[in-house]
Amino acid sequence: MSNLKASMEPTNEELVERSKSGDPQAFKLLVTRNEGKVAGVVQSMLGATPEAEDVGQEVFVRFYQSMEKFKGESAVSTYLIRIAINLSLNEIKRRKKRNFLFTREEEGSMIKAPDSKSDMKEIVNYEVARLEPEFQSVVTLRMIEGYSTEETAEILGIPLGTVLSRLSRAQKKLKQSLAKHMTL
Amino acid sequence: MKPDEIENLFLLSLDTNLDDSRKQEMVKSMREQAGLAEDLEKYTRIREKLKRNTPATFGPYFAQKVINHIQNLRVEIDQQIVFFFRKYQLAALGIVIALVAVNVIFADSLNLPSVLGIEETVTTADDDLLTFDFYENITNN
Repeated sequence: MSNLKASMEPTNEELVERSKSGDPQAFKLLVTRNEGKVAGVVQSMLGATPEAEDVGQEVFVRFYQSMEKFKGESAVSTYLIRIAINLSLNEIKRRKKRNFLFTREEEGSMIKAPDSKSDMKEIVNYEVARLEPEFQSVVTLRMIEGYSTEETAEILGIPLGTVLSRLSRAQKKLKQSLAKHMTL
Repeated sequence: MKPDEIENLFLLSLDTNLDDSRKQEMVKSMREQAGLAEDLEKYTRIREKLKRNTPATFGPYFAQKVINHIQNLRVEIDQQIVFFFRKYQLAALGIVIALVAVNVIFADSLNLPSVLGIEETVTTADDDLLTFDFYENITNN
């Protein structure tokens, strides 16, 4: 029964076609369906902040604006995640610039620094947010959101070998920084 | 195998089915380098902590907010177009006012055609229109 229901539901690509012909309900359904994936990536990179929601909205607005150019060479979700990563990286750059101007701190992260009450998950998230953006995007996709190495390479538009080397370096950095807070 | 190569192989093994020979090679290298095996175990623990357990969301009515955002954006674009052309409209109006002012200043009489720069018909006496016969003048003299 659930299989039959799933087969009757329009695919992302069908929803894009319907949205192109001016069906707002189709686009709304597309947003609802992909919100979780986009939220996962954006919140992992920026924290669950009001800016993260703004970036999330911007992801779908940008997709809506470029929908005519969307030829379906990659999956809709891949395309959305790519926009989400790029906009999150822009937001991190903006934060760094703003913090540098006002407080002379080079922290791009808005994630609260861990204290004695913080649990392991909070500490790990904090340390991930402190990684350089190129490592952060790889860690977010591969280690947090669970995309495969190949999918991560496709989303970021970089070779598989680069994903592996960035992951490896990110893990080493995380191991060092986490050692300050806990025994692994 | 170099430690970096083993690490890459380990990372790949997490989402790819390695062939038996590469798998055996990786296990053998990890046995030989105890420190590396320990590191890889730590990485696995970090991964476990990082993995998302609950689905992420931006909160209620997110899809509706996106639709509203798009609709507001359309109004904004329309306003931008109007604003973009407004400066040209104002410039054109300025030129027209300047031309009328010039016409008013240089007009012989202040009537509507002269103010608007409409060409006035020039009336001349019939005598002025008679042709002057140059040869006749010479022979007479």
